[in-house]
Amino acid sequence: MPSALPNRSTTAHARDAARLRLRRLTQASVALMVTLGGAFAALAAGSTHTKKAVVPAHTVKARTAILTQAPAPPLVSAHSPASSAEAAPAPPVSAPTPSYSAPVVVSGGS
Amino acid sequence: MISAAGAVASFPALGSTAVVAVTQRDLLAEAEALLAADLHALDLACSRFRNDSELVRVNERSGRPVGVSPLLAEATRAALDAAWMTDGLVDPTLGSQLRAAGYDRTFALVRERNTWHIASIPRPTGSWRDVELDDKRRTLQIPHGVELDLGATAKAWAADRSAERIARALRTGVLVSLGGDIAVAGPPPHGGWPVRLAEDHASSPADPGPVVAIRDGGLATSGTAVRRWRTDRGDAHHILDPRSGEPALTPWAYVSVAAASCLEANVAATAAVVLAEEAPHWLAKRRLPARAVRRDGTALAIGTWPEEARAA
Repeated sequence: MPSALPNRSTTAHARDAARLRLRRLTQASVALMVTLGGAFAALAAGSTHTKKAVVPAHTVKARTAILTQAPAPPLVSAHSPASSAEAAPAPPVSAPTPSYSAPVVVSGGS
Repeated sequence: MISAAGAVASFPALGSTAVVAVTQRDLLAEAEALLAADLHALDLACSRFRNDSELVRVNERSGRPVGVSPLLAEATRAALDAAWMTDGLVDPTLGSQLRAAGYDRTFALVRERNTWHIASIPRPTGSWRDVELDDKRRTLQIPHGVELDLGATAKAWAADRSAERIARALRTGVLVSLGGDIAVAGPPPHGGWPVRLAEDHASSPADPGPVVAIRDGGLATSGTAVRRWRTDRGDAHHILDPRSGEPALTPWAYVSVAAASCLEANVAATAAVVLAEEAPHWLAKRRLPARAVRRDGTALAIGTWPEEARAA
């Protein structure tokens, strides 16, 4: 049955895969920054310049916060509009029709 | 029960009522057995109220990845998709808020208790975006302190799943209803499956009220009248507004939606309750046939919903 909803399985997998890639990239980036920060600090400590180029810890933490709070990439598939407002449930192939037959079941709150 | 459409059986399940109907009447017993097995497995995986359920184990280990079964993984995926579909209006991470509002046990027990003191309801934080479901490792991690609740989507998702499975296994037309969330699969009876619309799915199909026929997809109704209880702040119900964490303020007694699947119909119906007066526009924009009934009984047909069903 066709659905106007983007293929949930594919798109959801893509979303979570992207999220995991982002998390791993974030972790790798933080590790790299800390390493570089330490390297620069060591370099600065070994220099004759009186001003030490030490990367403040709070700067690293702030960058970490920004990176880990980065929003996940939007869920789009090749066949769906980009905005989530339009990524809607799909209408039925055929709309309900009036019936005069004895109902077999009730659709109601539960 | 034998009807013109087929043979019908019902039994209690998931704190509600399960109904299965088949066009080939001699297959009813097998269809019922298949559905009962599916629902037993679903309860073990997704119940918020069983100490031995997988979902309870995941919630107890919030903040850590937990190995989960394919069933719970798929049910969670459906719930997260619903959140994504509705931009968070149908949110599976409101378990703590539901508990705080008084829905902290099976509804039969909530009803028996009759009243509840609301101390405070934690404000939701859109945590569904932070739920991590790893399909390769089959692990599920929810944010620390968050409680996953699949009640808004699990029945509808399961109805779709079971209807397809029964139709495929038995090669018959089938209708599955779980608490009034209806999925159909296989060739329908002549004229479609006749379904009565009402505030309460447990009312009799023979009672007066509008009847529509569906041939494919799903039909679901969300309302606030059935799962309702008293608190010291007034009546509460189970459809929370994720923007506040509290029971949604809505003019609708119930909203019925038809869609390509029962899950999608149910998600849209629930979102419509939360959206209140914005619901007709939201549904029409998505070309979803729907019927919204106000508390005074006036019914609004939306989209291609049939004219004859306008009478409440």
